[in-house]
Amino acid sequence: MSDRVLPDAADRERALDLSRHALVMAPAGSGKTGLLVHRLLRALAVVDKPEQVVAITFTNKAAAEIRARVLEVLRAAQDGIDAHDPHEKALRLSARAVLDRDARLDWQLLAQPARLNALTIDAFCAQIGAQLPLLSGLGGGIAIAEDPRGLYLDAIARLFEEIEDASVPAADRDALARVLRLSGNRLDRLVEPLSAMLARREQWMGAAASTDEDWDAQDERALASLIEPALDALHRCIDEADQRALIDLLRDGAGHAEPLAWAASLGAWPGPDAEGLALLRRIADTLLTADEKIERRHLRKPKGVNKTSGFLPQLPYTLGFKSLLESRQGDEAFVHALRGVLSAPDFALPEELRALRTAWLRVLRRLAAHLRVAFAESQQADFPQLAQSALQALRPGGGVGDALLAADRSIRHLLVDEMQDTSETQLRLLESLTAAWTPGDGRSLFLVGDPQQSIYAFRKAEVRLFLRMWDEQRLGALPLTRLRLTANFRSQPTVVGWFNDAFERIFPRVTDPLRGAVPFASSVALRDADGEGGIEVAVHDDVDAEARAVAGEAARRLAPGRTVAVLARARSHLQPIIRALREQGLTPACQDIDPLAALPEVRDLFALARALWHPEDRLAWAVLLRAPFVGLSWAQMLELSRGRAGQPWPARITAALDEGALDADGRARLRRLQDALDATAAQRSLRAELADRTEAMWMRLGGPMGCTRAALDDVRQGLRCLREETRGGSIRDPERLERRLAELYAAPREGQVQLMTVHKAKGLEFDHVLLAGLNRTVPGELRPPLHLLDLPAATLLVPRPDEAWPPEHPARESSTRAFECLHALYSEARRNEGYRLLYVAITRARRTATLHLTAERDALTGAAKLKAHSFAAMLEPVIRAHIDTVVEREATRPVEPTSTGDTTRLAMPPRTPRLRADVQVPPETGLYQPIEVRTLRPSEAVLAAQEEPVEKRDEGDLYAQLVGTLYHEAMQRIAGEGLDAWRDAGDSRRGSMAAGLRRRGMPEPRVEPAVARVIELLSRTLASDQGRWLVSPKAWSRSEYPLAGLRDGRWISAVIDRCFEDEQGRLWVVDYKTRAEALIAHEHESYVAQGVERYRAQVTQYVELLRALRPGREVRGALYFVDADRLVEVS
Amino acid sequence: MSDEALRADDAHASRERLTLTATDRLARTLREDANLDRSRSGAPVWEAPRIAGFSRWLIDTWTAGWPDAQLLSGTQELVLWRDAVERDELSSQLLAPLAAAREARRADQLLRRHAIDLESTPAWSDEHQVFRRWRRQVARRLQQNHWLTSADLAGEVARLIGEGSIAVPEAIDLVGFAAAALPASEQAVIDALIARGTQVQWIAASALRPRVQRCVLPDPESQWRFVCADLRERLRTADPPPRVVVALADPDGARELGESVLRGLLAPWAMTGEGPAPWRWERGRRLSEHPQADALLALLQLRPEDNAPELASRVLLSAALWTESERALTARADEALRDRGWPRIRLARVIEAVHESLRPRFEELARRIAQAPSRALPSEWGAHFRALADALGWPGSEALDSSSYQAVKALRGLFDRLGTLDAQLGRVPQASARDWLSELARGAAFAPRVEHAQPVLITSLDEAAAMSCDLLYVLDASAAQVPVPARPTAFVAAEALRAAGVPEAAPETWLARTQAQVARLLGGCAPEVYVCVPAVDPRGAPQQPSTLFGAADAWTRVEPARSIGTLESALTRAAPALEWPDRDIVPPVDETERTALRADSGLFRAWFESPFFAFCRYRLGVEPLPQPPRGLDARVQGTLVHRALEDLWGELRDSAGLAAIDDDALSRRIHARLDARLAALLPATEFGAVTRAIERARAHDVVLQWLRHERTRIDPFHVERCELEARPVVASLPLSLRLDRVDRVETPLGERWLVIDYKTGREADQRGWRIDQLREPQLPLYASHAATLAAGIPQVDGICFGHLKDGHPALVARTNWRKLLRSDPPADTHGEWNEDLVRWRGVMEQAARGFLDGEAWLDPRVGARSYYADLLALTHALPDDEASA
Repeated sequence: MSDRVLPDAADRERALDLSRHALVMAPAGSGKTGLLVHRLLRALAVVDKPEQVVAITFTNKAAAEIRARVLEVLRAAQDGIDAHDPHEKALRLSARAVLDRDARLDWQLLAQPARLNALTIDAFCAQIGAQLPLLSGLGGGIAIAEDPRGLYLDAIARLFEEIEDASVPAADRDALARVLRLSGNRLDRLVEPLSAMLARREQWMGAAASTDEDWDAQDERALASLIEPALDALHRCIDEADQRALIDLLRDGAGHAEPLAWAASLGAWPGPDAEGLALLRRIADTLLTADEKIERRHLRKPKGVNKTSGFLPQLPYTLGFKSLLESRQGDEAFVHALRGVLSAPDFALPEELRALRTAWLRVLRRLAAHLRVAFAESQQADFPQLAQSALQALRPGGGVGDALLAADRSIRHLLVDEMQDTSETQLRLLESLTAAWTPGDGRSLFLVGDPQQSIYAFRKAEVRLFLRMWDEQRLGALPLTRLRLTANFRSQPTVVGWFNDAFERIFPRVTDPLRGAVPFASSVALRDADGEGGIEVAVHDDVDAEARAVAGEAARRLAPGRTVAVLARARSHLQPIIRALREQGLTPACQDIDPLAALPEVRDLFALARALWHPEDRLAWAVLLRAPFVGLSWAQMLELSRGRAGQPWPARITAALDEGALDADGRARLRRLQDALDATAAQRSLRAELADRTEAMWMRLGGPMGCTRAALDDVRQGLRCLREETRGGSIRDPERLERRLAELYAAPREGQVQLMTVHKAKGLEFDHVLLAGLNRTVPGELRPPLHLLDLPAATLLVPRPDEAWPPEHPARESSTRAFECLHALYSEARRNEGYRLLYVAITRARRTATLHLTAERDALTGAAKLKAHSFAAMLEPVIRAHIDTVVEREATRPVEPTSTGDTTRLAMPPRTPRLRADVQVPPETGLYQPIEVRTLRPSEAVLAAQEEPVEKRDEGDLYAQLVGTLYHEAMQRIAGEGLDAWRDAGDSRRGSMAAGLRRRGMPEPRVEPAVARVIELLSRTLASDQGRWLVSPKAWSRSEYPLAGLRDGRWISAVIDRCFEDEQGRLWVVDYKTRAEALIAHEHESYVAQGVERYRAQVTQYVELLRALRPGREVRGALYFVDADRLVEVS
Repeated sequence: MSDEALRADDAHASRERLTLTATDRLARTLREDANLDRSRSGAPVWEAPRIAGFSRWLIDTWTAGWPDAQLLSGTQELVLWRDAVERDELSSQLLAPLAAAREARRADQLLRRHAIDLESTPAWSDEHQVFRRWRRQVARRLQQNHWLTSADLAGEVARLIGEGSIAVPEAIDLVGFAAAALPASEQAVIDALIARGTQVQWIAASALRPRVQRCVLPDPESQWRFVCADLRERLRTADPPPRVVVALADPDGARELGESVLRGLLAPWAMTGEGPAPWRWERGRRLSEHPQADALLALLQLRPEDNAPELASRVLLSAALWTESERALTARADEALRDRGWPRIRLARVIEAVHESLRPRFEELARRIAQAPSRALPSEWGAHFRALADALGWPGSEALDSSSYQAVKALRGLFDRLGTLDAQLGRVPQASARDWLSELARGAAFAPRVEHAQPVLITSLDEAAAMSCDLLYVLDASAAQVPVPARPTAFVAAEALRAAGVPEAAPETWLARTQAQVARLLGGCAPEVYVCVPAVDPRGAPQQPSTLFGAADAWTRVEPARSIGTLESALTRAAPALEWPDRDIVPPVDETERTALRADSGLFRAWFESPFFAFCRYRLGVEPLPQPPRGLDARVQGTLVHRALEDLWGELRDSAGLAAIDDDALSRRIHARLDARLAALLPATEFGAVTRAIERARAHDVVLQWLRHERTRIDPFHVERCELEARPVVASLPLSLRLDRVDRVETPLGERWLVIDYKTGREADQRGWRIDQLREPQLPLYASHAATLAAGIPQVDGICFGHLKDGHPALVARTNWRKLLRSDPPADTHGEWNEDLVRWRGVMEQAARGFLDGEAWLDPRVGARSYYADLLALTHALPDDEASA
C-alpha cells in the first residue's frame, strides 16, 4: 500500500472502532479481508476468551484464510519483524496487543489456533446446535448430510405414500391428490421441483405455517402494492391533456367499430381499482403491437393502425390516434409503463388459484414433517436444518439472544464477511444473537460486504437484505454506522478507470430491492500504474477460434511471477479452452472444471462397476466390452450377439467362448475378460465388495495401461468415490452414485494457466484475466411450483397455475398473470445478478483483462449478434461500437469455403482406442511381501486366546455355550474357594449366575432354566467323588490355565480347564464336558464314547504341552463328562 | 476367599506380577513381544504372559467376583437413555432422540468416570435441567434392576478392592499411561491397590531422543505418497521389517485416500486381491458396512407387501448372498421386476420372478415372515431373524473365506447381542428390533484378523501415544487437528467439569492434555519420527502446522518428486499406449441376422437420430437398465388410455356414434372401459386404492376431453382399425408395426384414410415429420409404406398425432384434404401429399438399406436431451451438456 492518504481513510479508521457497530460497503479490491482481520485483532485484544470473538465468512477456505492471516500477523509480531507500511505497522501494533493479552490470560493462541473462531455460517450454526442441543432440537451428535438429496427423496416418497393412508386427514390426502394431478399423477415429475423446494425450505417454511385466512388477508395488500406502481408509472408518463385526448379518441371510436366498443364506458382516466385496471389494460393493448410475449410488444406505428383494431380509415378519431402514436414514438418509458400495466396482476387471486395454494401449503407442511422424520431416522440433518435449529435455539421471539450460550462462549464481538450473500434465515440468526445487546455493553458488530458482488442467489443469498440494512442503518434494534470504502488497491488505474466507466453505464441506476437491482459505486485506483494495464475486447468467428485466441494470449501473458487466469460463466465454456491450451503446450490448472464423469477412463471404470453389479445391465456390459482394456471391435460385438441378442452379455460371452465363436483376437480378448471374472469371483470377499472387485478386474485387464499418469490419478479418485458409495459392498442408490460422479472433478494439478468459473474466482485476483465466452449464455431456470414474494406491505404466495386448465378456464388468465408477474420479478433479479457476476469477473484483474467473445454476424446488417442475457449483451452499450468495427473489418476478408467434412468418415461408426490383446500390467518387484506369521510371530489364536480367556464364543447353541461357560467359571471358583463354600452347589449364587448369563446375551426367558441347569451340573459334580477330587486342594493346580508355545514351527495355544498334580505326583490335564440338556441314563455310554473320540486330539495336545512345560513328569489327560459323571482318561 | 486358599490354589496367579496397559492395542503388542521373547529364549511352551488392557482387566476382575449386579453394554445403556429421552415431554421437539440419548450418555459417562456429583453442580440452562430429569429416570432403572454401567466399573472395583473382596496382585506395572492423567474413578482403583499392598509401578516410556523431521507437504495425497515412498524402502530393506506406527487425528476420515496410496505403492497385488497387505487400520470399518451385513439387514427388511423396488434389488443383487450363477438368475428377476414399473413390490411377485431353482428359498422366507408376531422380546426377534436368514440361505452356499467367515460370525453374534436387550426393551415390534440390530451393527467395528505380518499400524494419536515402535509417522499434524477443538458436553455446567479436571471441559486443559500426548509422541514412542502436514486440506483450504509439534521455523517445506511404483513409471505423461484401429466397421446384416431381427418403427426413430443408435439397439440389443419407478409409470398410464380408447371405439364406431352420445353417457362409458382395464394394468395388489382412483379419474378426464375434441372434427369419420398389427417390408427389412388407429374419413373430396397415433406423454410436434429433420418417423413410415395394406386399407391420406394432454387435447395432422381437421376449409393437396409420401418412402428405404448395410455413424449434433443419449456411453463422445455454473 502506498503512503498516500486514502480517499476513505476516515471510514477505515471508524471501521476499526469497537465502540460502534459498523456496516461496511467494500467493493472489489478495497482490502476488505485485511480490514476484517484488523478489527478481529482489535477485538481479540480486549476479550477474556478468544472464543468470544466470532468471525463468520462464506466458505471453509475463506475461514481458513482468515485464521492463517491472523496467525501470520501474530507470529510476525512475536518475532518482532519490522513493518514499514503504515497499515502493516498498525496491524502489527494490534497483534502485539493480542499477544500481550494472550500472555496475561494464558490463551496460548499460537499453540491452539483452533480457538480463533473464524468459521462459516454453517459451522457456526452447528456450534450453536452443539451448545444448545435441546433448545435447538438437534439433540447433539447429529451428523451433517453433505448430500441431502437422498433424504429429500425419502421424504417425498413417504409423503405420497400417505395418499393411501386412511389415518391421514382427508383434506391432506385430497391436497396430495390435487398436487399429484398437477403433474399428471406422475410422482417422478414432482421429485425435482419438490427437492428444490426442500433445499430452499427456509424461504417458505414460515409461509407454510400461515393459515389460508392469513394469506387471503395478505393477497389484496400485496397485489395492490404491485399494481399501484405500475398504474402510477403510466400515469406519470401521460399528462392530463394527453389522457383526456386519448380517452376522447377511444370513446369516439367506440361508436364506430366493435373492437373499440369497450371504450364507450370511458369517462375519466381509469382509477386504481379492478375496473380501472381492466380499462387501462384495454388502452395499453390498443396502443401496443400484438405479441404473445409482453416484452416483445412495442408502440404501434401509425401506419399499423387499421380497422381490425377498430380504427376506420380517415375518421377523425383514427387520425387523432395516429397523431398521438406519432408523437410518442421513441418514448421507451411510456412503452415500459404500458407493458407494466399489461403484466400487472389482478387485484385478487382467483378462487381456484387460492384453492391450489391451500393444497400446496398442506402438502408442504406435511413434506417438511416427513423430512424431519427422514432426518431423525438417518440421524442426519442438512445445512438449512442446522440454521433453522440454531435460530430456534436462540428463541428469536424471546429476545434472549446469545445469553443462552455458555458464559465463556457468549459473543462479545461478531464480524461477518460477505454480508451481501446472507440469506433471510442467516440474517434472522444474527438479529437473534444480537437481540439482547445494549448500548455501551462493550459488544460490537462488524458487517462487511459488497452488494455489487452478490452472486449467490442460487445458494439463497438475497442482496435485498443487505440493501435494506444499508437503507435502514440497523440490524434488528441495533444501530449500524454505514461506512463505504472506495480505494482499490488491486488493479492498475487503467483497469479501474475502464470498469468505473463501463459499470456506471450498464448497472441499474437506482436500488430496487424487489428486482435485486444494485447501482454501481465507483472505486479510486490507489495502485500506481506499472507497465501494461487495461481492458480489451477480442471478437472471434467461432468457438474454436476463440479458444485458440485465448490460449494464444495466455501463452503470451505468461511470465515469471505473473498469474494468468481464464474465467468463464459456466464450466462447459472452458472445455474448448482446455483443449486449446494443451495444443499450445500449456498445462491448465483447473479448479472444479474437468468433471471426472467426462473422462473416458473414469466412465469405463464405472461401467465396469455397473456391469459387475448388475449382469442384466446391457448398456454397462456393452461399454465394458468396448473399453480399451477389453477392446472388442464392433464386428466382434456383433459376432458375440449373433443369435444371442436377447441374452444378457455374460451369457453371450460364455456361449461364444464355449462355441469358439469370434476371430482369434476377439477370443483372446474375451478369454482375458472371462479369466478376470472367474478369478475375482473365486474370492468370496473380493466378489462381495463391488469396489474391490472392480479395481481387481481393472488391474487384471490392464486398465492402467490405457491411462496417462494423470488419468490414473483420476481413476483412483473415481475408485475412492465408488468405495464411498458402495459401503455395504454394492450400489445402494445408482442415482446417487451418478450424482456423486457428476460432482467430482479431476484433481487440481499445478499448471501455468488457471481455469475456473467466475463464481470460483470470487475472492481471488490475477495479473491477467481472460474472460472467455462473453457471448455465451447459461440455461434459464424452470418455473417453480410456487413463487413467494416478500413485499413491504405483505407477502404474496402464488402457485403456478395448473397446466391442465384449458384456455377457456375462468381462472387461467388471471392466475397466469399473477404468477408470471412474480416470475418476471424473479427473472429480473437473476438478470441483475448477471451484471454483478460480470463485475466480479472483471475486477479480478490486477493488470489486464481481455474479454473474448464469439459473435455471429447479422446477414443483413453485418452487425455482431449478441445473445440476450449474455455478458456481451450486458456490456453492449460499452462494447458495441468496438465489436462492430472489428466485425466489419473481419468481414472484408475473403471468406474461406467451409469444409464439407469427410463424408467417408461420417459414415463410419464411432471408433475408440484399445489396448493390445496381450497387455499386462508390469509386475511390481522388490517390494516387501508380508509372509504368514506362523513361524514368525504369535498367531492370532495365541494372542486371541490370551485376550479373551473367558468368552470363547463359537457358533452354535448359545444356551449350551453359556451353560458350559458358567459351569467352567464355577469350577474355577470352587477350586479357589474350596468345596465348603459350595455346599449348596451355587444355589445361593443364582443372582450372580443370572447376571453373568444376561451380560453374555442369554435371552431373558432362558436365564432361569440355564441357572438351574448349571446348578444341576454343579450338584452332580459335587455329589460325585470324582468331581470333588478334581477341584479339591492339591500340591499344585491351575484352573483355566493359559499356555502358549512354538512347536514344530507352529504357534500353538491352549486354555486348560483344569490341571494339577495328584497324590502320586502325576500331572493331570482335565477338560470338562457339559451339555445343554440332561441325558437319560442309557445314553451315557454312547455320549462318552463319542466325546472321547471327538476330543482325544485336543487333550493329547494339552498333555504334550504340559509335558513340555514340566519335562520329566508323567502327565495324564482326561475328559470329565459331567452329565454322566465319568472321568475318562485319554491315552 | 481366605489367604490360605489363595496360596493353596489357582488364585495364586493373581498374586503374580501383572502388566496393565492404557490401551488394548498396547496390551496386544506387549503380549506379542513377550511370547516372542519366550520362544527366542528356547522355551517350547510357557505360561501366557499376564498382560491386559486396563479397562479389560477391570471387567475381568469385577466379573470374576460373580457379582449380582449386571454390567450393561453400551447398547443396553443407550436403550435406557433413549427411553428416558422419549418419555420426556421435550422429546417431541427433538429431531433425533437417539442422537440426544447418545450425547446424554456421553455426559453421564464423564460424570461417572470423573466421580462428579451432578446434584452439586449448577443447573443454569434448560439443557442442564432436562439432563438431570433424564438421568434420574435412568438411575431409577439402574437401581431397580441392579444394573451397572461401564463408567461405574472402576469405582465399583475400587470399592471391592478396598473391602478386600477382590484378590489383588502382588505387583502391577502400568504401561502407556500419561502420568497423573487418569480420571478420578480409575485413579481410585490404583489407590485402592496400593492401599492393599500391591506394588504399583508406572513404567515410563524410555526417554528417547528421536530424530524428528517436520515436513510440510503440498497436499494430502503427496503427504501419503511421501510417507509411502519412505516406508516402501524401509520395508524392502530391513529384515525383520520395522514396527511402524502411522498416527492421525482422524484415521477414519483419511482412510480412503490413505488406503488408495498404500495399495498403489506398498502392495499393488492387494489391488487384484492376490496377496496380503502389510498394514492394518487399528479400527475396522463398521460391521454394518460389510457386504454380509448389508445382505442380512436387507433381507430382514423384506415384507409380504409394499417393498421398495430398491430393497428388492438390494436382496436380489447381493453378491454376498448369491453365487455368481445364482446372481445371473436373480439379476434377471430384478430386471423383470423393474420392467413392470411397479412402485412397490410384493414378495409374492419376487417369488414369481425368480428362477424356480431359487423359489423354495424365497417361499420359505415368505412363510417365516408370515409367522412373525406383532411384538416380541428382542431375543425372540433375534431367533426370528436368524430363521429368516437361514430361510434365504444367508450367507450363501459357497465356502466362506476367512474375512467373510469372521464377518458372518460377528453378525450371528449380533442376534445374541440383540437378546441382551430383553430386559431393557421388553416386547417390541419387529421394526424396533431391526433398528436395534442395525444399531448394533453400526456400533461394532469389524477388522478381520489375519495370519500374516502387518508391521505398519495406522491408528489414532491417542493409541499411538501409548505405543512403542521403530518408526512413527504423524500425519495431518495441522493446527486445526492438533489439538482439535475441545468438545465439552452441553448437559453439565462447564465449571463443574473444569473443577473435576475433565480435560475437554476447557481449551486450556484440553491443550495441556494434547501437549502431553504430543510430548509422548515426540519423545517416547519411536527413535525416529516424521511429522507431516499438508499445506492445504482436502478442500483446498490453507492449513497451518500445529506448533505443538514444533515452532513455525522447525518445519521444512518439502516438494518431493512424485513417488511412483513400477506401474506408474510404465505410463507416459502424455498419451497412453493405446491403438486406434484403422477400421472398426460394422458388417452388413446377413440373412441369418435379418431373419432374427425384431425391427419396429423405433428402429427408424433411432436411425434418424443417429444410425449408431439403431445399430446398438437393434443389432446389439443394448438398452439401459430400467430404473425403479417413482409412483405411477408413464408406460402404464399410456397403456391404460390406449386400451380404453380401443374399447370405446369398438363401441362408438364412428363420429356419428360419438355425436349421438351425450357427455354424461360418454363419461359413464369411459369409466366402465377404464374399470375393465384397470384390474390388469393397475392391479390392486401393486397399487393402492387411492392411486388407482386418482389415475382412473385422470385417465377419464383425458379421454373425455379427447373425445369431446374429436367431436369437433369437421369430416365424419369411421374408426376402422384400432391397435392394428402390420408387417411391411422396407427395402428388404421386415418390420413389425402396431398402429394405434386408422380412420376412414368422409371428406368433401371423397373418402380418405387417416392414421392416428396417440401421444400420451411427450409433446406432439409435426416438425418431427420434416424430411430434413425426421425425428418422428413413425407416422411417415406408416404412410409411406402403406402399412395398412395388409389390413385391407387402400392408402393413407393423412397422418395425425392425437395429443392426449390433460386440458389441452390436440389433433396435429398432415393430410391431403385439409390442413386443420377442426377448422380449415378443405383443399386438395394430393400432389403435395404424394410428394411427401415419395420423399418419406425414399428416406425410409434409404434408412433401411443403410441399417442393413451396416451404417452406424454418429451424428455429432446429438445432444444430452436425445432419447438415446445413454448410448453415447459406448463412444468417447459426450453430449454437449447443459452449461452449468
